[in-house]
Amino acid sequence: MTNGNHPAVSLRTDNLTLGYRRGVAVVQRLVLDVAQGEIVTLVGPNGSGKSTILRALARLMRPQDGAVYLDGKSIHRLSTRKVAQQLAILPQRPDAPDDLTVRELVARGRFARQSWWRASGQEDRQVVEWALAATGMDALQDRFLNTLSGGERQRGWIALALAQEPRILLLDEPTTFLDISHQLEVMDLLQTLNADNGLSIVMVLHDLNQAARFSHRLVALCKGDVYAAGPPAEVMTEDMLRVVFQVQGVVGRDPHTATPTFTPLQSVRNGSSDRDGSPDRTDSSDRPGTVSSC
Amino acid sequence: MSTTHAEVPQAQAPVNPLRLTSTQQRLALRVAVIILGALIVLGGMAYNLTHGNTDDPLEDVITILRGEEDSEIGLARYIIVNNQRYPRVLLAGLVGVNLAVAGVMLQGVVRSPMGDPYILGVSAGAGLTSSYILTKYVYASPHTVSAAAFGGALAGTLLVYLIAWDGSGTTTTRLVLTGVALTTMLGIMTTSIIVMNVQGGGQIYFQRLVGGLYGKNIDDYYQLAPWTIGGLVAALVLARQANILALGDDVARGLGLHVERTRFLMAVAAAILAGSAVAVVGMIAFVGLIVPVFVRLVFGSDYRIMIPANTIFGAALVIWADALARLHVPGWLGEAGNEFISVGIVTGVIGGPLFLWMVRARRMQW
Repeated sequence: MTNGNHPAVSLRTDNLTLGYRRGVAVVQRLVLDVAQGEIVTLVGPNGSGKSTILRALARLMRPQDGAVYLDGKSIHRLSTRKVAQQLAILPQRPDAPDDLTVRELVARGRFARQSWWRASGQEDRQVVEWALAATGMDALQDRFLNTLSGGERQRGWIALALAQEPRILLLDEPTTFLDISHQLEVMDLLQTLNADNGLSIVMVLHDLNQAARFSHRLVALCKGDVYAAGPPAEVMTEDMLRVVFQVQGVVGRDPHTATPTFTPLQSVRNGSSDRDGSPDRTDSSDRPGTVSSC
Repeated sequence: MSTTHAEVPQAQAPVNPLRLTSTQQRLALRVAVIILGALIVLGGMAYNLTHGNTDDPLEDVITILRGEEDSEIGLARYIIVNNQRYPRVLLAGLVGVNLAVAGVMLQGVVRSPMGDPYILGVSAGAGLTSSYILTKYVYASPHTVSAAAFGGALAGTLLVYLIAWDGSGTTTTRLVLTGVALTTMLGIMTTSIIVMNVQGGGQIYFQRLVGGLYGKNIDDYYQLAPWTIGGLVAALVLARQANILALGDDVARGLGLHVERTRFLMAVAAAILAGSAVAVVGMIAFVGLIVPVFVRLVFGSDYRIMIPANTIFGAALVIWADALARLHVPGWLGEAGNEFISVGIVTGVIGGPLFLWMVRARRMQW
């Protein structure tokens, strides 16, 4: 089904300016490029614009300026159905009616490929079964969503996205509300889908070690600007972490996965390292141990 | 609906209130309840056709409805059954269908179980415009009245939506408060319009504020039927989209749904159904609350199932409410005026406590 013999689809932004109010841009003139088969993770502190960018990539919000291009065409000019056949998004905390079974949920992923006169058919059933199997949810397909654990439910939502047969999957903090074993379960699943099906993945993650371990490319964001972008080994530097995240720490190398790791030692946010509690912060950037942010 | 993905203990999850464990059990229950609902509708029709000032045996009623001559049955019985009871019970059924399905659609629009046309002020909008046409232009055709009611209902819906909804959504509290304010405001305007336009004998118009089927005939049925069909077809066509919308705006957009367009069309379907019912029988309370709450409990949240189930149980509720409304008013309640009470009073008496229970038991959000 979704196995590599589809044409490559690219996702690109050009001078993307995003904001929630006129004149107040959260993200300015962003240039971002995602190639087919890549896992790209957006990292950055709260308020750096990660989720906003992801929403714009998924055409959930309109840019104030610039555009998102799906395969060279502006995503807001394409029909939303056509976009949904190429690109799927899993928002941060999706919510479904109580009485839905996993299978019923996943079947709704076929919406953009069905019409009023051509409801669910043979092909739809096959894709739903594939999506359930790919996420390991086939055994749980008749369970009601609210009877599932957090990790199972998240896999169910990923199965919904897969049922769209997308070439690009966007995920907003897919592991944030899960315990560590469920987090790994979800990340392993995403890695497998990427490796086996050539699915491009763009996601927002809070856990830097996870981001470094599972991504081909990291994009470190600071106040809506790209501070650094590239392979994890290049982006995950002590400098970047100090400037972007305002954390002093040590970057090492995971002996098992050979990916960079980060051990945070101390916050260097303006004022937070003031051990004397001095209210005078006018010259805090000149003090040793504090950094002006990017 | 779950609002947290965090570690909610499973035993506390408000899932599946009837505790059905498998989809087969669920299906069996649904089929059984549908059959039961159909029987309740048929039973209600039989009761209403045979009971009244004088009761008639069912065989006589069947003979009369078939148009067969029977010299043992007096002419008066023919007239009462054919011209009064028969159109009235059909109309009751249609009104129930309209209000219940309008409730389902509105609840999808505002994402709240309190999306009843009466609570939100949609019925009040229809009541105002239809009363204006009825009292100001006495010779307006019935369909003009219905169209005016549709316009009022749609305006009411959009008004609620604009006031209570901001970019991301709304809360049930805000919706209900908006509805209270709109209903009060529009109700006062309706009363003023009736007072200003009718000299004497205004009771017949004031009855529209409560909603009733007294004195309705077959013309009223024909006035409503095309709107019922149109509204039902619209609702069923929108069922697939409504199911997607129920996953939330962001997920729905991601799946390829035109979210705003869908919401608007669902509001139009609700306005067609609620407005046309108000045009004919006035503002009957809470049908769009009672029936969808029950249907959702048994049949779940799939619109392709909810809409047909609401047609059956909507008809059942209003037919039986009318049966109760046609009982004689006991003397201690009131001696004067009409010996019949109004359907709207019956549904109000059932729906009011349900509404309060939902508030008390925190069932105001899915």
